Amino acid sequence: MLDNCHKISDNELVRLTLENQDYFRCIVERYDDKLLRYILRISSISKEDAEDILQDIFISIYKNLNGFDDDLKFSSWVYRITYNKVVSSWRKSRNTPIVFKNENNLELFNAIISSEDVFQRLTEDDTKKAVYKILGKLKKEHRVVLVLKFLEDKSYLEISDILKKPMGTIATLINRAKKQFREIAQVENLT
Amino acid sequence: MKNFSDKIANKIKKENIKPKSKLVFLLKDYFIWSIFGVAIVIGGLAFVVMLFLLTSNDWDIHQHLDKSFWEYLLISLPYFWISILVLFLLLAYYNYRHTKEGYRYKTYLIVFGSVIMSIVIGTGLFFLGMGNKIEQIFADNLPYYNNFTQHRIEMWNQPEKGLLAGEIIEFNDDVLKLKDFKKNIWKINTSDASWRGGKVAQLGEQIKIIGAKQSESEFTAQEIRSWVGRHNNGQYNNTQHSGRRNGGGTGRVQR
Repeated sequence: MLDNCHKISDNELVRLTLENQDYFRCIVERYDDKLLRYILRISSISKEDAEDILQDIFISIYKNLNGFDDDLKFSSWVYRITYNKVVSSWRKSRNTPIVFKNENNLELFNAIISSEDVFQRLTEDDTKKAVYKILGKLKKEHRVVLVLKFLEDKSYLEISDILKKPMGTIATLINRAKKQFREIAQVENLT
Repeated sequence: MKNFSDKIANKIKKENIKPKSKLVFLLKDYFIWSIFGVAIVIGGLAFVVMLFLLTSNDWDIHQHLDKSFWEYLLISLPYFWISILVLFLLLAYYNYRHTKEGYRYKTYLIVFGSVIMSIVIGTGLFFLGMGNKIEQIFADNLPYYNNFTQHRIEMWNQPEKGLLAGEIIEFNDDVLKLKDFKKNIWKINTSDASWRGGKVAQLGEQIKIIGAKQSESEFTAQEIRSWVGRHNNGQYNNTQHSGRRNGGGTGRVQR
């Protein structure tokens, strides 16, 4: 029964899961890698902690399946729940210093600098150091929009649905985030 | 991560976790929309009373109070109702923001939309003549409401500045007796007075008088207006008021 779940659409899986909870495995398997990577990209927690949060996220998704609104993309709804859970974990560990160690974040740096000449002279080692420093100093909401836009390849509408902010605000946030990114790089002499 | 999906599935089965009922989400939606609707309607009620108070205000008496028009405007604005309107518009905004798609709209659009809806409702009620009635309902039922309208009574209790108001307790052709809001009895000479909206003198009628103080109990009237009145093409239509005697607020003064 579950072998064919890759052929079933998200919305259909939601409907099937509400009839038979076994189908929820399909949802988990479709999204667990994506969401784990997303959590690691926007936060500075360990993989083990991220997996704990991810478990809570899937339980929350399951409990709230009847609240899923068909007008949204299911992936946007799932990313929204994930974002909210990560924000909750930030609140709990407010005083923990942010230290990024995740190599995936290099992609974010590369994605942003690809259109910015100012970073081109950096060596690979310099780039890693720069990424860790800049990401640790970015405002959280700036970090999140950059990840969603440049790494998760989300559209403005999807980011708007995930963060529950108007699309115009998302565009402004992305511009501000890129600006802050460049400014930190310059202040830290990383360019 | 096959193991991970197994772990989640086992947890769901072991702890017998069930999806919340659709009804829970529907009720939450209805609740948010209901509060939004109620907030807009109360905003509309606040707006109609504001409109009523502003249109029935005596904008021409600022000279008697030695104030400029702008000073007079500042002391005449219905701050209580402006506060109520703002408060309920904020509530409407908060609730709309929490509807399913409320986050998609800019703050100013939601606020502007809410204001427009309250203004439309308020203006509609105003033209149905509900301003006075609604204010009276609030005055009769809202504790301490009269404290917010006290300044109007005090403004008209300045005989030395030519302003006097109270209730007619006796009248004949050229003289009437008035009990002011401090319960002083005045003999009013009305021989040269003009009555806005036509002479409608009857016992128990509450009136405002512009004129001149002659002694501690005598006053000469130049112009007489109904205490409650809607300014309509320069005329006060004071024949519409029922003459309730036990009310408070701006509509009827409680003594």
